[in-house]
Amino acid sequence: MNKFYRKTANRTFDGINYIFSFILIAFMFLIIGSLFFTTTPSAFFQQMSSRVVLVSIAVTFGSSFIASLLVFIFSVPTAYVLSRKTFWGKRALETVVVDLPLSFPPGVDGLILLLLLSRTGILGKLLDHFHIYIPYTFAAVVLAKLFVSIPFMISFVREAFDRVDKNIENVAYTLGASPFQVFYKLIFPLSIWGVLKGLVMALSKSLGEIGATLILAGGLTSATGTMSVLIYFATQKGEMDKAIALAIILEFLTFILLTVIKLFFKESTHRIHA
Amino acid sequence: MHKLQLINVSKAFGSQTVLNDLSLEIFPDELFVILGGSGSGKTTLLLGVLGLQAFDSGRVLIDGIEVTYVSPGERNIGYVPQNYALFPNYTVFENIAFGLRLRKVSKHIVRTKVKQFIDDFGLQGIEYHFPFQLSGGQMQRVALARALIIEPSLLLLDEPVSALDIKTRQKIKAELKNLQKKLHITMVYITHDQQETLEMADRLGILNNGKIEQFGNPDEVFYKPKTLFVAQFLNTENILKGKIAHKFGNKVTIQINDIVLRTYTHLELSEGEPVIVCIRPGAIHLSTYHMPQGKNVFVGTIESIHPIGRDLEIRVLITPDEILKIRMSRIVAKELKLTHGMSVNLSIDEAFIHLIPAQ
Repeated sequence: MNKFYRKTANRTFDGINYIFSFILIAFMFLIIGSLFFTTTPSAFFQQMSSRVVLVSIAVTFGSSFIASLLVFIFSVPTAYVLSRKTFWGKRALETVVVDLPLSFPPGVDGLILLLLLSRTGILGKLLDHFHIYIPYTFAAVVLAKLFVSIPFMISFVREAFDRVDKNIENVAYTLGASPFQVFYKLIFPLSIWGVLKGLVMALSKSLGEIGATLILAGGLTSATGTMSVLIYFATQKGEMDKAIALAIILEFLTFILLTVIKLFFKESTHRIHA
Repeated sequence: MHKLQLINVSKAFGSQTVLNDLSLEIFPDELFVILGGSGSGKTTLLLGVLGLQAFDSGRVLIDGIEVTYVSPGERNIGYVPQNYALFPNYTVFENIAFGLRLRKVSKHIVRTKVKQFIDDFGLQGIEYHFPFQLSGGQMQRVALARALIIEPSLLLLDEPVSALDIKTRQKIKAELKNLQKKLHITMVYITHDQQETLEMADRLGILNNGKIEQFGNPDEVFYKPKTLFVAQFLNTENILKGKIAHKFGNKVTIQINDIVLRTYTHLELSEGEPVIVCIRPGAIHLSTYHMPQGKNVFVGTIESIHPIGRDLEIRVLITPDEILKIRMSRIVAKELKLTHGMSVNLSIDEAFIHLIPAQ
């Protein structure tokens, strides 16, 4: 009797998991697939050849790559400090650089940046002395993407650094390694999966970012019109063919990019984590 | 031939004192075991000696030269942590070569020396394996080779066999002991295992509450604990409370309820003073036959019999609230037909009765 109940309970548990997974997967396929059925190939290729669409692809991917590179450059040292150093105010720093930006809606991020960088803002005033004006430029697109995606990267990388066994570092120090050698020979290679996950997340966030970009960069010029912003404007104006074509391209290129990154890193890190 | 000295080292975390004015001297070529339970300060002591964490006060000397403020790499101490901490992204060869490469030793010498260590440590055939492909014993050897290839002044081992199965543990312990004698290296071995301590130590120190409670060779510490903590920590089977009935020179008579024991001691004790009496089970002779009246001979009743490994532990009630534990092989116990409630005669060799002042 007991055995029967256990078997039934296990099957019910598996069944529930399968049902919910199936519903979710089917829904995801429906969302992604529906795009392809709501346009015609001729309408799609017509949009594809439009200069606006091609420029927006370049702006989106160009700004996302630059933002991700900057995210990488700034977040790795910050994550290292948060993971390895003990100092007064560490908690506050974590809240400011990770928790708060993570909880802000991207629109609020954009507003903060705009207030900061406008000619009357603290940084804007300073930059104005050098005749630099960031809002509504390509730099604003990059900055918006950077600001929105960096907390994710810091959070992932910090977690990866935390997971590296402290004893490994200790042994390396006793063998004569400097903190920098310990970092580039051990901590970083051993955290590569976390760094990769953070990068993928940052890149995904950057590619799809709209709220902060719209407020800080506007998206009305060819230098600031990212694909997400153009999709938004197109749907507002009822240009559904354009919106759908942009959405398909964005989905497709993002999928290809993330798959290539994952495969590349899987190949180069399988030795460590096998 | 290197010596380590710690002079009055202390370390506190907030209001919690972890190391309390601890002094320690480890002689050249000896295998010194630091034995302590969890929270005794073992890890803090280890990190301080390695230079990975600064002591709040005190000095660290290697061969009489102060290294208190010297970086871990410059202290030249080999370190094998509990989990071996092999570098997962490097092969066995690269793990062993790590320290030499940091020292900018020429490629040719690195190759020759690492190959030599691979041969010496029986790692042939696995030199290009990654750590995840190794067994526990192999990992241990790689960790040792990696620590020893830099020719350290001393080797620090933190619970080095605790992650191994019993069979490999025995083998590795013997290998470590042989290695230490062969290389004439000063070895500091940190453990919580008293059995391991007895097997490995030339000398040992028992760490408690940030202080070394007792130094000595294994026999001294095991048979003559200086404090109640040491006696309890080393699982002294019989710890009884008594008081000094008579004292004449070194000779003392101790009263434990109705039982009178005679022994001798170098402790400054006065008549009527309470005392802790420690008796190892091997020092108690049990017989079912009548024993002639004499020193330290008395009668007891078997309260219970418990199997302990290959032996039996016989618990004998000697006073209404004092029990003596005696170890006996199963064969002997069977021959004597020992049963629960049986009256038995006991005699204790006075040389094995050890006294500790009751605090």
